[in-house]
Parts: sequence; C-alpha cells; structure tokens
Amino acid sequence: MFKIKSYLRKYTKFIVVGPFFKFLEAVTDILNPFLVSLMIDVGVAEGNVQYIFTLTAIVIMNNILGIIFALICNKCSALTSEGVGRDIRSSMFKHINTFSHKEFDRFTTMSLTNRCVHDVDQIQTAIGLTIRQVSRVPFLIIGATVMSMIIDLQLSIIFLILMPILFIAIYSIMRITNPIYVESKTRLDNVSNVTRENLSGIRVVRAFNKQEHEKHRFSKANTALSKCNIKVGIISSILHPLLFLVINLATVAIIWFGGIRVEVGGLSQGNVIAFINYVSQISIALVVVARIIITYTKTGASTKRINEVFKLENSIKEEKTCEHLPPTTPASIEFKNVNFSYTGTKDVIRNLSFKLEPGQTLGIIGGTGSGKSSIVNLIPRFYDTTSGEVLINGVNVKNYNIKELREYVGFVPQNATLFKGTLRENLSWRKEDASDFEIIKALKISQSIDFVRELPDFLEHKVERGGTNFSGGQKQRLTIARALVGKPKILIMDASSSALDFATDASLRKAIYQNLKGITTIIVSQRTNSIKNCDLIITMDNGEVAGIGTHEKLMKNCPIYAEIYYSQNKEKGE
Amino acid sequence: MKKTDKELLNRRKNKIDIIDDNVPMITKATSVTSKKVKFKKAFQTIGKTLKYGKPYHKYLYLAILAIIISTIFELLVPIYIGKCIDNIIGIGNVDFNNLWQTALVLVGFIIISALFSWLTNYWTNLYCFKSAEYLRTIFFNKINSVPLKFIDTNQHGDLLSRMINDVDILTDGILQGLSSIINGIVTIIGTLVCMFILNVPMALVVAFITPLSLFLSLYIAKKAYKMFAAQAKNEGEINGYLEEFISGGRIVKAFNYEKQAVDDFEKINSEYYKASESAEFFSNIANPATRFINGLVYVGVGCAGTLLAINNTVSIGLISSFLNYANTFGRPFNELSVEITELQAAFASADRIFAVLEAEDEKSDENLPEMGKADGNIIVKNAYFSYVPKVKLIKDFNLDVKKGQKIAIVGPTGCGKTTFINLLMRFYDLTDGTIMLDGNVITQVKRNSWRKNFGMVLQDTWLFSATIKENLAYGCPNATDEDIIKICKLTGVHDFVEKLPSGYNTMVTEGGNNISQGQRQLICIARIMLMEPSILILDEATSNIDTRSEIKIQKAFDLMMEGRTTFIVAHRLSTIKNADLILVMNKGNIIEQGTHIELLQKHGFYYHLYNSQFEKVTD
Repeated sequence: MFKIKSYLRKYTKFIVVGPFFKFLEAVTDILNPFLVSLMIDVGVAEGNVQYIFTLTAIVIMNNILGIIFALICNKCSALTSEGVGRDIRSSMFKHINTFSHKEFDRFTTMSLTNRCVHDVDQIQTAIGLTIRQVSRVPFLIIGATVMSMIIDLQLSIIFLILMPILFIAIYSIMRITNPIYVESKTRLDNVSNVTRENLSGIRVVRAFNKQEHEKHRFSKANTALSKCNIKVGIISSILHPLLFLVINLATVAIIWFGGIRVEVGGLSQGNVIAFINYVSQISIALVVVARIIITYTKTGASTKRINEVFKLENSIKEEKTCEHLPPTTPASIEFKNVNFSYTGTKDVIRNLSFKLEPGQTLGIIGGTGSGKSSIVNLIPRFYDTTSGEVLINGVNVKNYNIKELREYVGFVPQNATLFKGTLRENLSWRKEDASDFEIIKALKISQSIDFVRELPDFLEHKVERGGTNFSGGQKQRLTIARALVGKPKILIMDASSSALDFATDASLRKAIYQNLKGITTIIVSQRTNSIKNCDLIITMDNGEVAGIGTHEKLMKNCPIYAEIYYSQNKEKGE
Repeated sequence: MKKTDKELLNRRKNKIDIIDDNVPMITKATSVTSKKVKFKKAFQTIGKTLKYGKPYHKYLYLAILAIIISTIFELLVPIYIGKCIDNIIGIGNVDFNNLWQTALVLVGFIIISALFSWLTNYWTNLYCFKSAEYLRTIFFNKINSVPLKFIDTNQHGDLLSRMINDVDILTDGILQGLSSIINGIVTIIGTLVCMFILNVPMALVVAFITPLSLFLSLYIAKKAYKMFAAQAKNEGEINGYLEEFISGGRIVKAFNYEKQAVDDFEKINSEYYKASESAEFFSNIANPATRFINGLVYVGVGCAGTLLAINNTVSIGLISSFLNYANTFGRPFNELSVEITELQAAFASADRIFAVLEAEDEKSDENLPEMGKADGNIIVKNAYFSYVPKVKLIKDFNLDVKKGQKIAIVGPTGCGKTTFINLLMRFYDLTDGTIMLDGNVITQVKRNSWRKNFGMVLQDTWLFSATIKENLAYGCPNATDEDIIKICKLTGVHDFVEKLPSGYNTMVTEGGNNISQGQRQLICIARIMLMEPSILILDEATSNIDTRSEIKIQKAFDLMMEGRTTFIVAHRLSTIKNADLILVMNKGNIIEQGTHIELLQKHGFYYHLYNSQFEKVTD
C-alpha cells in the first residue's frame, strides 16, 4: 500500500526546518508595517530623527533576514518535494517491472506513464506548497488578525466580516472554473484528433476531394474549444478585480470607522495605516489558502491513481523450491489439456495438447484473434494456464526458476520493438557480454547483416527511441537476431516475418534451419509457406484447434488449413 | 496574484507531454548573437503575430484603453486613501464632512478601476482566444493546401504539436503577455509619475530602488527560462524512457532485463531530480524577491516620509499614500519577469508556427478546366520523377493502359511502388514528362476533377471518427440508405454491420476494437464502390489483414475490378498473376515489365522473386 507519509520520513529534517524558517519570514513580514507605524507615531510625534534612522536600519535588516529565511525554506521545499517525487517514481518503476503480462494488460502505456510523471508531479506540487505555506498562511491570517485586535478590538470586526466574504469569493471562482478547464482539455483533444486524422489520412481526403468537408469539421471542433476557453477565461478573470474591489472597500470601511474611533481617541493615525496594511496581507494569504485546497483535491485523485498501480501485484509467482533449468539441456515441450483465458470468462485456448521433441519445429497458423500468440505466451510463463499443464523436459514450467526459464527461451515478439541506445546494446539484451562473433552470427542468421554492414557505425549505430530509424522489416530481423544471441534452447517467433518480402522470408527460414539444429523452434505465422515444412503444425480457429499434424496430413484432414493454403498458392488449387 | 510562477510552470509541463520527444524540428529557432538583430527579429515576430490577430484587433484596442483607464484609477486610489487619512488627525480632530466626501470619491474610483480591470481581462481573453482559433483554422487550412510532400516529409506529431502547443504558447506569451506588459509598464510609470507629483524627495527614494528591482526581475527571468528549459528537456527524457519501457514491458520480461531497466531509470530519474530541484527552487524565488523589494521601498518611503514629516513638509496621509504604492510596487516587476520568460518561449513557438504557415501552397488550378468522367485510358509519356533533386527515382517511364486493363506493380519492400501511385493521383507532380487520362493532360485540368476518376484503397484503412454510415458515404454524401445497403451486401460489409448493436450508426473510433482490421478494409472497399470510379488503385490493400478475412476481401476486390482500369500494388504474388501487365520495380526503377508468362520466361528479377515464394527450406 502506497503512503506519501512513508516517503516523507527521509526528509523529516527539511519538513521541520522549512516551515520554521517560513514562519520566521512571516514574522519579519508582519513586523514591517508595525515598525513603520512606530516611525510615524513615535518618530514624527517626538521629532526624533535618530529613532527614525535606527528603525529604518532595523527594518532593512528585517527584510534581508526575511529573504534569507525565505530562500532557506524554498530550498527545503524543493529538496523535499522533488526528492519525494524522485523516490516515488523510482519505486513505481521498480514495481511496474515486477508486473507480468497480465498486469500490463490492465493499463495502457499512456496511463502508466502519466501516473509516473504527472500524478507524481501533482504530489510534488502539494508537498512543496505545504512546506512553503503551512506556517506562513495561518500565521499571516492569525497574526494580522491578532495584531489588529491588539490595536483596536472594535475595528477588527471588519476583518471578521471581510475574511469569509473574501474566502468564499476566491474559492467559488476556483471551484466553478476547474471543471471548465477539464472540459476545455477534452475539446482540445477533439481538435487534435481531427488534425491527426487529417494528417494520417491526407491521401484519402484529397483523393475524395473532401478538403472543404474536413475544414468544416475542424472549424466546428475549433470553435467549440475557443468558446470553452473564452468562458473559463472570463469567469476566472473576475477574481482579480473582485479582490481589488473587496479589499479596497474594506479599506474605505476601515478609514470611515477608524475615523470615528480616532475622533473619540481609541486609535491613532498610524494605527489606521497599519490596519490598512493588514487587510492586504490577509487577502493575499486567503488566495493561497484557496489554492492549497484546490491542490489538495487534485492530489487526492492523483494519490488514488498511483495507489492503483502499487496495489496491483504480480500474478506469476515462483515456487519456493524450484527446479533448475540448465541452459544447455535440449528442450522438449509438451502441452497437456491446456485451457487459457485472459479474463476468466472467454477461453482463448481450449483443451490443447501436443508434444514437441528436442530440436523439432512447430508451426502455428490461424486468423487474427484465433489464439496463436496466446499459446506461445504460456511457454516462458508470460501468462499461466487456467487449467492443464505446460511442460518443458517433463517438468511443469511453474516449477522452474522464472529467470532461468526465460533465459532458456529466445523470444521474438509480434511487435518488433527496439530500444534507444546502440545496436550492440539492443542485441546484447539476452547476454550482456555477448562477443562480436556471437552478435554477427545472429545478424547473419536473421538476414540482417547486409543492411547492418552498410550502417556507418556498424554495431555502435544509434537506435532511436522505438527504433524509428529502422524500417519495419529491418526491425523484425533485428529482433530475431536479438533472440538468437546467447544461444537459447527454445526459439519462439511470433509472426515475426510478416513485414519481410517472400525472398527474404525464405532465406531466413533456410538459415534458421541450417544453423539452429537442436533448437526447438516455434513459428507463429499467417503464411502457410512459412510453416509448411515444420515437424508439427497447429491450425487454430477461434481458440479451437482445427487440426494438428504435418502439412501433408493437414491438407487432407483439415479444411481450414487447406483453404488458407490454397488462397495463398492459387495455382495449385485451381 | 494573477498568475503565479508555479501555475505557469505547470502549464508548461502539461504542454510538453503532448510533444513527441524524438520529433525533429523543421527549423530550429536560430540563435542570434547580436542584440540589435535579436530585437529587430523580436519586433518582426510580434508584428507577424499581430497580423494574424488582425480580425480581432478591435478587442486589443478596447483592452488597451481599458488597461489605461483602470490603471489610472487604480493609481488614484492610494492618493485618495491618503487624503482620507489626512482628515483623521487625532482625538477630536477628525473632519467627517471632508472625509465623507473624499471617501465617496474613493469608492467611485475603486468601482471604476475594478470594472475596467475586469473589462481589460474580458477583452484580452476574447482577443487571445479568437486569435488562437483563427490561427488554428489557417494552420489547418494550410495543411489542406500544401503539396503532399510537405506532409510526408514532416513528422505528423511535430505538426500537431505546432498547432496545439505552440499556438497556445504563442497566444499566452505574445498576446496575453502584451496586455500584461502594457499593464506593468503603465503601472510602473504611472506610480512613479504619481509619486513625483505628490512629493519629489520621497519619489526619488523609490526611483532609486527601481533599477534594482528591474535588474532583479530580469535576472530571475533569464535564469528561470534556462532552468525551465533544462527541466523540460529532462522531463521529455524521462517521459520517453517510461513510455518506451512500459510499452516494451513485455519484452523486458521476456529477456530478464528488469534490473538493467531499473538501473537506467534511476540514472535518468536522478538527472531529472537535479534539473527540477533547481527549477523548483528558482521558480519560487520570485515571490520572496518581490516581497523583499516591496519591503525596501516600504522602509525607504517610511524613512524619507517620516523625516520630511518632522520638518512638516509632508502630511501623514501622504506617507500613507506612498506606503500603499510601495506595497504594490513590486507586483508589476514580478509579473514582468514572468512575462519575459513566457515571451521568450512564445518567440520560439512563433517561429515554429510561421515556418508552417509560410510554406508554399500547391500550384493554383483555379483557371484550369474541369474534366468529366473518364473511360480509363491512361498514357504515361517520358515520365521523370524524383523526391529529392539529387536522387533520380523514375527515369523515362512509358506506359499505355487501355480501359479495363489490370496493371500489377511488384517489387521488394521499399522499392518505390507507392511513388507511382503518388504520381497517378497527382499527390506529387512529375519532374518531366506527362500523364494523360482519356487525352486530358494531368497538369491541365483541375486536381479535384482528375482525382474524382480514381478510387483508392490503401494499406492503412483510414476511417474517420464518425458512424459507419458516414464513413461509407464519405465520397458520395448524397447516397441513399438503399444505395449504401446494396453495396454493403455485395462487399460483405452488411453481414458484420448488422450484428453490431447500433448497426450502421456504430461509431468508428481510432484504435477502437469494435471493428477488426479486415472489416475496416471492407468498409473502405464499399466506400470506393459506392463512388463507381473509372480507375481503381489498390495499394497493399490486404497486407494488414489475416488470411481468412483476406479471402472475403479478395472476393469484394474481384467484384469491384470488373470493367475498371486497375492498378494493384502487392507483395503477394499469387494475387497479381492474372494482371494484363506486371511492372517490376526495384530501388525506385521499373526494371522489368510484361505479363506473368513473359516475365517468367525472361528468367530475371521477377522469376527470382516469384520462385522464392515456393522455395523449399529443406532443399
């Protein structure tokens, strides 16, 4: 369970020191008008120049001390809020790294990233604001009120009337505008969606001559946004003039009633001036109070979102005593009556059984959403079966050490993703200290050596975030190479040649066949030609096994397989 | 009180998160060394920006008028407070008659000032948001009028962030900033003028402190800008890393890479911490600094005032007026320092926006004639084309296609097949040579009338966020429901649409999984069939589709191709064997052409490509 408190503990020192110095700054603040009023009331009345100079020097010192105190507090607040933010982000990322595939499915990337960055930011803002204001604001409000009460109790009634009026005005304007800001954000999203659609679909828009139609669609979204912005702008712009109005009217009231009090001798002229000063001090403090309240409501929501991440526990658990999987043992794979479902309601794999001997190849074919990828995800335990067993070398995968199990399997995922860094770094993911020889061999097998050789920096070539500086086909081949480095005993290729043209795809298969003898290989594909030479082929149809066997057997017994085959190799069917 | 630095900082943070961080800029704001040039450029930018706000200039004028009125009255308030106080001298010495009259005038001034201050905000708001709307509109229209090359060569995320973020930063910085700056300057000058009129020696004290404040706020602005920039850069870094590793989280698992990932993140995280810690510290200096300046002015005025009061040259009320000014004197400086930071960001944004708005439009075709519905005879004569002048792509290309023929274009990935389609649709113009459709020269007719003859189905099934029906009728807004359903039954769209809960009124959403890729493609096909174009272009139309759906789509294609001139781009050779002519492309050139049989006999590139598909791995 995530608690901001536990992260704050480390910074107790700053949390005590910061507000303390802020308190001191507030004292210096509140002394200013008081000291100057003394200059007027005592200095002028007595005509004491020396007194005035002394007080001036004191006030200047007072101000210098004030800014020093403020800076100390600022430093404390920055160190604490940013430090806590850093710590939360760190432990969040650590926690996210314990997630299994199932937990990743629960959040979108955007949502997790936003929680790590923006929701944590929100907490930082709240912490910083608290440290800076927790002592100052109450002190200013109470201090100014008490001081005014000491000066004159009757006149201070004006303060008691003024404060709730000011507070309600400030708070309600912020309350009203906040939801409109949210609304404005959605409308901005609309504008950017229409634009994004037009950029990606520009050929279609022009081919259909729909420019005018799109302009109209855009202008509708754009006007809606602008109307919303104007509305929120006009409401929130009332705040400042309103404060000005209320504070100054209060000043007039102080002058008028102060005048009455001075007439009867309850108050001096300098006191009235000090009173006027306290009014403006209180009003500034109240604005801050309103802001703190709004910040706290937002922070509550952010804390909740962060908590949702921390609450999610890894569902793939390792057994306490687990079997070892030596990296050199040849692999046999067996599925025994395997059922699997992502959500618990709809099975994506139903009653699947097959056995693969060491060094054999398995092909899996079927339409999108037929359960192909789900089968291979069960082998390195990205997910656990709902019922039934997945066995490697006769042992249930659940009994293996997870790290060893995944080291044992070379996995080429469906989405060819590379990471920012050099090519060498990307290819050494399975084996940190992979030699050039090993990497180049993997590049050769994966048919990527030709284009990699043409890169100016060869293995040190920079890979952009997401691998955007490589084409889809190149990325696919590099991800195959990445899986081959460090000699896995099982190679799983999940639709990993879809972006390759036929000639490259064929050479790739040939190279794998020639170089990877003894490695148990699983190929998921939509092309019959990619898998027809496999020792075993599974044809999936909507979670059901439509047929298991060799190519020849399936051509005879499995109509779905034959249909797919003929659609891709027409001349033989006609 | 108006805009705190923290709010500004947060606003900037929010903006940054939309920007793709690995997006290159079209033009980087050029760093200018000489200050003179810098100022000249700044004024040019302001001028340009104001030009785009022109339709709404009346709001700007009104706002400036309101600023001046409200500031003048705001400045009169302390004077009258002072006058009031001069009526309250001591026990039994309060002139209530005079006090009453002065207070009444004071209340009037307060109300007028508050009212005009609100009107200032009101008109500034209208001016800013209307200008932003207008800027976005012309930006969008620009996207629709530039040559396709412009869209293809610029990152879409970058263009988008220019339209969304930069327009916001620009209107905040230059337009909104303008009114704040005018307000600040009027206030500072006004205050000084008032002070000098009231009392010269005391005013001199304030005037002496003023440069100090100015220096301090400029210093803060400069420093803060640098730190915000560093923080934004680090934040972009951390955002990018998180996005990359969270979206690749499954791969991290597969490779046992968790530990390295966490270690790398720690590094980036502590870099970000360093940058944001100093930015946070600095951004919160402005307020105490303002208080400090206020304090100095306050005591300066107090000291000078009281000394003068001893000599009876000033009244206590006058001191009070001065003290009041002193209390608000720091505020405009604080605001100015914030605005200057904003302004710097705004200039950079303005450059990014104008780079797009000043891009050249497609050549006008206003005076060219419309062409009617074509039969579908296409002649390509001596065509030359290149995307970049240095790299020749298509050289002396000739082609004669008769109505109803099927032309297949094949070749390895990235060989430039799509280029030909770009030329045919006039998305790009030929460098030399010509294309004719039924005798009409491509550059001699209106683009729209030329494109009307083509129906295009692309690899990316582009549907826009609207109902299925609206998407189907995209090319023929006047199509009746019967027409649509008839075509949908033919193409197999009807079968799945009927099963959807809202049928033809189902919303198509971006990335929404209520409709599969295959189904989306079927909708695209039905959309084209409804238009009955004379020529069809199918560009890798089935490569994102799984095999079983492809069978259905293939049937729809066959139906659609009947009697129409068709161009097919594909990498699945079996689908194009029956074409009347096959163009084999490699590295941007057409290296072979002929029928399937002819090309096989040639034993060339095509022969090799075709056979690779059936090559046995075990051989």
